[in-house]
Amino acid sequence: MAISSDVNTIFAYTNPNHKFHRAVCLYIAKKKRYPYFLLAKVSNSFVFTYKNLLADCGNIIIKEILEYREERNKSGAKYKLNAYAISAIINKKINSALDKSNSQYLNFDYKTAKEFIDKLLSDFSIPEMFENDHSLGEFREKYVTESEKRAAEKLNEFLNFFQNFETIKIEQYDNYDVWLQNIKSSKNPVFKNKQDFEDMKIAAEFLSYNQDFGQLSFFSSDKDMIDSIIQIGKEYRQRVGDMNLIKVL
Amino acid sequence: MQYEHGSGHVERYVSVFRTVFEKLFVNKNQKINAAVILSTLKQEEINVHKLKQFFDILPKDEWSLKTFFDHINELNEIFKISDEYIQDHAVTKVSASDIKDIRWEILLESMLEYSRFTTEFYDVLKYNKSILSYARLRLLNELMLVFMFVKEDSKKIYDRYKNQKFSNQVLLKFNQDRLGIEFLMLRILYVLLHLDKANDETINHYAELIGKERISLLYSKIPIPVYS
Repeated sequence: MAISSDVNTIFAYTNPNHKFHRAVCLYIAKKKRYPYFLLAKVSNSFVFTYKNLLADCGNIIIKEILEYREERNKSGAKYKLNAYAISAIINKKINSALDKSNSQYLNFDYKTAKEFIDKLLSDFSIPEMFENDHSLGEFREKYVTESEKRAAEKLNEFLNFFQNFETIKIEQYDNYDVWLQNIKSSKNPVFKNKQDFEDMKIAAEFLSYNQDFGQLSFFSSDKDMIDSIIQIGKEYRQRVGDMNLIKVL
Repeated sequence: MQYEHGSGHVERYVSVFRTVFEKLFVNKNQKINAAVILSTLKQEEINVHKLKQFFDILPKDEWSLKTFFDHINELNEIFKISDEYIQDHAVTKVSASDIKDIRWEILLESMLEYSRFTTEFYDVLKYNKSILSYARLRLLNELMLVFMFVKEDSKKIYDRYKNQKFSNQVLLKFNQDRLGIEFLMLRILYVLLHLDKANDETINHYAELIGKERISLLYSKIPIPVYS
């Protein structure tokens, strides 16, 4: 039987420091030969979130440079700062903002973000961006485009582990909307009392696949998601494939 | 150069080539009509109230292509490209088949226009030096990515189709190619019209909508379902 997964599984697989990393790797190693179906909602959410986490690092750099530039202008300082001083001051601000930002995301590998920034800053220097608007614009273009490429690479890394995989796009079909509505009007407090919209959309796509094309198994490290899909399946009498919860080792 | 032996024959010949050429080629070319209609369209007032009313009936959450297909007629009504409009504003008398040709020329021309104006919008965002909140920066990034996609894709589409003659088959392929652009432009219009009263949380939500819809279009490998 074909299998599928949720977004967090891909995050756990791509981040060696994630607490579910080993468990997910071991789980999918056993399922390597199974046909794997990547749901469109899972793929979109992963690429979007991963891209945003990287692009936010670029946003932090831009914001710190512009804020410091304005601070200097307002202070009416007589002498221009030298490049070393500009670099040291802004780098300090960037590092502290990055630390704060990364502590908020549990799924994301800080090392990846750091490496991404180091690579970017090997092409663009902070003093140059501080002085030159054109360079700042080029930097913005670079991190916006590169972050999405990186996200796609990470997704492919996960997919390539399976011997055969397909990406599917059930969200375009009528049944997807019906299932989303079913979930929203369920009597049970599923998907964290219907507040986890991302999981609800993934579940709607998963359930409409099971209705239209046959049974598909699912694995996730999120107990609430697994329980919610099972409950919705029972409530609307829709049979689904095996639902597998990955537990931390 | 003179052809003395032929002069007797030429006397009997009445030249009508100008009329023939004009009827066959100049009058049949609907580029002029398309240009005139597009420039007339630019002078029209856009009814923002009607546009907002239309947006109110669309889902607040993510749209799919189906959302777009379901509202094509209302969109045409708002943007005024009906057959009657073409007929009323064409500089020559046009038949039903001419209207198809004019529509084709308008569609092609609009691709070139998309490419030109998104290039400018893209650069404005790229070189923006205002200090923005993180939510606004995220929206700016998403808008940049959409404009980058539109400016590159619309130019490719224009180059691919500019020398092709109108046929139903060509139109079908062209429509499939431009669908993503039209869909994303509509979403951007929706977001920009709702931005004035939006707080950072809403702006974050808009950035997410644009981002996920763009990714959904670009990363799809499954053929788009055909809706009648």
